[in-house]
Amino acid sequence: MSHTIESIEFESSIEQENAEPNYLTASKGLKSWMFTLDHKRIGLMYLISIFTFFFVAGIFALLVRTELWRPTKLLMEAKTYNQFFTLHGAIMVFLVIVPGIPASLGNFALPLQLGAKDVAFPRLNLTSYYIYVIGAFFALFAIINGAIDTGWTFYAPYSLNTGGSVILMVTAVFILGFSSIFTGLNFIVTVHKLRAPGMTWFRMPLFVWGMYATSIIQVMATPVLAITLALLAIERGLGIGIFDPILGGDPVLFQHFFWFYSHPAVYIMILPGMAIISELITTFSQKKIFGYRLIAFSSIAIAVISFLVWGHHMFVSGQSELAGMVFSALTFLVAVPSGIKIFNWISTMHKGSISLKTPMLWALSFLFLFSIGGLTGVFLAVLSIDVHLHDTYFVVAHFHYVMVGGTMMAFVGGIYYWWPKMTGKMYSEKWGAIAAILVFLGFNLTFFVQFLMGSHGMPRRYYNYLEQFRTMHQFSTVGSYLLGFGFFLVLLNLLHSVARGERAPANPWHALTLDFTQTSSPVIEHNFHHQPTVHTGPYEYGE
Amino acid sequence: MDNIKKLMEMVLPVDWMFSLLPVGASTQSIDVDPLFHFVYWFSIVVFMFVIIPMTWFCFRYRRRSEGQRALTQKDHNQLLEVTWSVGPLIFMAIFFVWGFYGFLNLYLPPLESKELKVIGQKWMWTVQYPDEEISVSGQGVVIGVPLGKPIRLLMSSQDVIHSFFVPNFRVKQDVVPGKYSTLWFESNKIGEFPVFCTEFCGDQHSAMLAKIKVMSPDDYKKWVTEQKEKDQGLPPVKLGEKLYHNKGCNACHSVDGSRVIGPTFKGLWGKSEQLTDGKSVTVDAERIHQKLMEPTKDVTAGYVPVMPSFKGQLSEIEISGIVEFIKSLK
Repeated sequence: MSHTIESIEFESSIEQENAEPNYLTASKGLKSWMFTLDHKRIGLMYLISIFTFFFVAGIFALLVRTELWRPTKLLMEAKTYNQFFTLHGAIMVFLVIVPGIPASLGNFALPLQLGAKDVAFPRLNLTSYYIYVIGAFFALFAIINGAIDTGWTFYAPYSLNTGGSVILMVTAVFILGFSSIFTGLNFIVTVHKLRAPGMTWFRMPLFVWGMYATSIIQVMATPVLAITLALLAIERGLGIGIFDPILGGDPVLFQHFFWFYSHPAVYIMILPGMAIISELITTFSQKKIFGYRLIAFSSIAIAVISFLVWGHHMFVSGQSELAGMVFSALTFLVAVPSGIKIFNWISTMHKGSISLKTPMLWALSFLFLFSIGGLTGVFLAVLSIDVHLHDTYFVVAHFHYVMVGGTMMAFVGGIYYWWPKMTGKMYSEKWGAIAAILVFLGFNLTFFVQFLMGSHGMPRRYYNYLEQFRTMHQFSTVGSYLLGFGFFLVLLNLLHSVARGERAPANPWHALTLDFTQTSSPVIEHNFHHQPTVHTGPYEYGE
Repeated sequence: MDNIKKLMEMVLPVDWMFSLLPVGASTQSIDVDPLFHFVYWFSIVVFMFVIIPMTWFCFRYRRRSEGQRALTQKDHNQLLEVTWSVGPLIFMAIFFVWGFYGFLNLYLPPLESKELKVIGQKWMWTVQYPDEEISVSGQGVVIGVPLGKPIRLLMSSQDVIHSFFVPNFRVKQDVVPGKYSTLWFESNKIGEFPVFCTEFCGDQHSAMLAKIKVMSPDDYKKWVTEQKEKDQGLPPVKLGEKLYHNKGCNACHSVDGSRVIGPTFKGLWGKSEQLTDGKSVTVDAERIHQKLMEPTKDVTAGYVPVMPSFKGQLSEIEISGIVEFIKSLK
């Protein structure tokens, strides 16, 4: 087969123009959204909810950083400060990052990439969204009714005896867990059963592999969190001794139960981000991904090993030294597949045809920031070094580098990438680039100094601090405002495109996956006019 | 030049930009710091291997025209893939082994280490010195220790989980209610080094500070004398003796070796006891704590389970005093 060198035309059998309604216009009215079974509408509703909570939790973060401008009290009392950092963490983890990419972009794009009409269980999908909404209401109610000040980690016995709406909040998290489980279950079955004819496992896009690995974790780990929080609520409400030593319980047991979920949870957060990066790098280099199988297998390997390392959060908790040793060794093991992915992505760019459109800028940001996040994880895996760094700002910096510098960068890159499919509009590339650069700069200013603060001994969750840390804190606070502003620009950029953006072509990025080659912008209600069939791998740019 | 430096010092944390860690003041820092710097340089090198190609490729292979194709679709390179899998794995193994040895060292206090008792509570530290018969406590408390001597802290919490962290010594250990935990250090530098509580414990978590003051042996002796003269709280053994009488332990336990209802306290410390179920147990701080809280569990063979429980009646500071009192009865 020969191709002209000057241009690659991708014929879409759908030239939509004004003729056909798309998934946004096919049915109208509030009820058509409230009772929709369309994965695209559900994904969009999730996206709006998730980003609303992102900004709410972001405001809590700005309040925390503002208070930390001075070593002593600036705006608020200690208890309020403690509530604000707790709510920042709890909202970000349970309402933003864990549902995050899977519930929004996963729902939207997974069926499209598979050539399917929808997910396997559309009603379960809508149910999972409503469970999310109910969980969110419980959380809001808890916040208004006394809030919590336990940290998002709810360690016992503090969480058993402190004031506030602990039981309400853990109930909210319990409910939200089911939203996560149902999404994961849905995706697993969809990937097994609804692939287009000819799409073997190794012809699936890597985004799908990443979502599949994530779904395994969601289904297997989340129930443990649910039970743990139920036990916490029961003990707090009924005084049954499980974790409180006064009642004969063991506080360290809570930590084991909690981290058994919460460590795999962070891979629920990063695997979808990595999945998006695979798509972005390959599309914006117009080159077959380097080491497809290794990237696919590394996602599964990470999912499995993630269940075996939870004790690295507990090296100084009182768990046995032997346990510490085993957890440290396994933690080093889990770092290797992530490193391989980074090298594979960079190799994909080698001799590619690289376009620096906005989604790619976010992907490059990811590569830079996630590398730092991952490497600082190595420090924390070393037993003797972790003793020094545990519970300091070093850990705070590490997890923000991977969760924001990793997951959020990929998330926003993915939103820009699929924006034409979701809205039929193109956003301004100029403002997209400006926002990306401001976020990158603001992020580094906020968090890089925190590594140094941490290694110099600045503890986490401190309302007041010693004078010697003042300058570093001030850098960080200024950075946080820049970061917030950058994200706000992203929001404006995207909203503006809906109102005034140019109409998007079917395949603006010349991607080769079905979500771009076989759909219109925006996508039609049933995704495809005819069932697509697949004869090759997803990234065959050469052929 | 000097003015520029002064300006920089005002605005930037200059000394910090050239040091990753605070001054090391313990034998532990001698081991941990080189490993820290090793991991640091490894990270810098790996990061360069990621960023430099990434940036170069964005420039060298940028798309110059619409529809421009990639120069190759090669997606494998055996040599590269093996190198970047095996290479990092080797470094991970080195980090692991070195870190593990450092960790073991932290958890094996020298036999001759001097034991201090530490009790954490919302929101201050109390440190008892059984040998010197002093006790210090409070927010910002100064904890004096002699230079060059291994010090072992036996710690427990009165209420919630706290954590005892001395950045300059590179040591940290959670202080947990319901159990004892240990931390040891040997300081090799005279000075005052901050102690932070580093497990969130409520409103005044960030005020739960202390200072370890490392002194020459002579200055340490002077400091101990000063504390004795201050009203800093009953020394542990005296506290234990007081409680022995006030709480009625003397009704069942003698201090002269004679058997009353319970075992005599004389010579009890460190003894190996057989339980009614055949198991054997050593009389240490944990055992005494257990007997005070759940006396009818694990009863010593030959004795009846009639001891009342003191749960809710004795604070951790008081229990620590009782332990020291029993220890003192050789």
